[in-house]
Amino acid sequence: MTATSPLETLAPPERLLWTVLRRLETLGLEQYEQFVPALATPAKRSLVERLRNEVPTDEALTGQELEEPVRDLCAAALSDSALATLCVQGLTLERLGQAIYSRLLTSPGAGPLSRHLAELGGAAAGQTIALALSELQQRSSTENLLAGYCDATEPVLACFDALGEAGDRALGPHFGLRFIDVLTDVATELIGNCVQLGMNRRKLVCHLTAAFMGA
Amino acid sequence: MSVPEMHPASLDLEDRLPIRRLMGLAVFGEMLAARIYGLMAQLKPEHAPILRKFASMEGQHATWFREACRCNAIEPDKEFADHELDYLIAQVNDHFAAGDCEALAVVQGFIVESMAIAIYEPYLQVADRYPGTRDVFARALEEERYHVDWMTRYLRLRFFDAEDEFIRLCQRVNVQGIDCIGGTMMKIADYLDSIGLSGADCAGSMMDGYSELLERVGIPSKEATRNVVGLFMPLIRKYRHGETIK
Ligand SMILES: [Fe+2]
Ligand SMILES: [Fe+2]
Repeated sequence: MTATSPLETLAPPERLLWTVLRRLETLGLEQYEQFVPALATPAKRSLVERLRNEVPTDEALTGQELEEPVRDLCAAALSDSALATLCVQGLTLERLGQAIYSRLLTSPGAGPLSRHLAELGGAAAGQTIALALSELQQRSSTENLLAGYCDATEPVLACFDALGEAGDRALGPHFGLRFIDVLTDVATELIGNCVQLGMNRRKLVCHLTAAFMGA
Repeated sequence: MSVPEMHPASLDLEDRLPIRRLMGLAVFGEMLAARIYGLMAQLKPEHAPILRKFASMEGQHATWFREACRCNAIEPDKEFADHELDYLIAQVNDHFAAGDCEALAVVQGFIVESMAIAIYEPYLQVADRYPGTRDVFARALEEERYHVDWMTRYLRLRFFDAEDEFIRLCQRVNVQGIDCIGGTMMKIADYLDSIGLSGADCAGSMMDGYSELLERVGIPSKEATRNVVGLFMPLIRKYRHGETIK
């Protein structure tokens, strides 16, 4: 390999992490394009393009313990409506991404390229979440957002445990991250957002608790 | 009051394990609650009359529950309750020895009461399976809410304009307190499921109820949520993986 190869600036665990994130970001963008074009922002498009350049193949993920949980999560996150896309991608998986990006910024295992990508990812996620919240706010007077959120996210949240277990083993030591801490960030932000959208907080907390308990 | 579908005595011992353990926790937990309010009364003479009243109410709950168990031929599982409550008793003794009434107020008035409310409230929906339990749990629930309201007012006044101090108190008390009481909640989740409640809903309600109480004393909503969720998350993970919770 030559010193100019972009991959050389990512250590193996970083390549693995960015491959996973590229898969998730690409899926998100495709879902937005299909169901909520407003959320396919220029920042999101340029992030996905950048990740496709940095980690163009699934080589780092193939055959790894994380491969199956990532595949399951991507399958569960395939939505069939704008509302489901807003709930699954716009609120939940964007928060997951944002929580990871934000922790990467101070992670000892994240090199300069990872930190740069995390900055881009965090900024794109922030914009998309704001747009998703505004779209959902408009729907709040005509749709039952809590029921929509619970139905759409149940299969996705159910995948988090296996993802976290494999992720902790494969990436935790290198990045100094624990999935339950990431999940605490996600749940905290989600609960705040959903309450802001008028959802019943107790019912939402019970939905998240049941999903995380595997009940 | 409706007639139960099956006479309790016709159920075999194995089937009764969940209700025996849940009732054990209720009876002996109430007795411990009585003791904690009694200790608080010793530390705060100015509030001793009401705290002693609370202690006697909790003692009364224990007596009611024990009697209701007797009517249903349920032997409350003392060994299980002792094991669950030992860790809480150790914390309570430490707080009392340090003269720390505020820590006792958070542990008993907020964490323990949140757990009781989160279970007694949905229990009323299945209470008729155990004749004679509906009325006593409904009355206890009402009184737990009264205790929580008083404790909230007490802590609000005590930490008026001193939210940072309250946050530090909660940080100090919550780690052990939630680990212990939230841990018990996770351990009984399957028992709750088996008597027709949802263990996950009870746990979720406890988390939400406790976060709400922290907010009412002045902790910003997001911070309260993060603190409570963050402390429950490892317990939830252990539950999910069938690991020893405590
Ligand atoms: Fe009580
Ligand atoms: Fe009480």
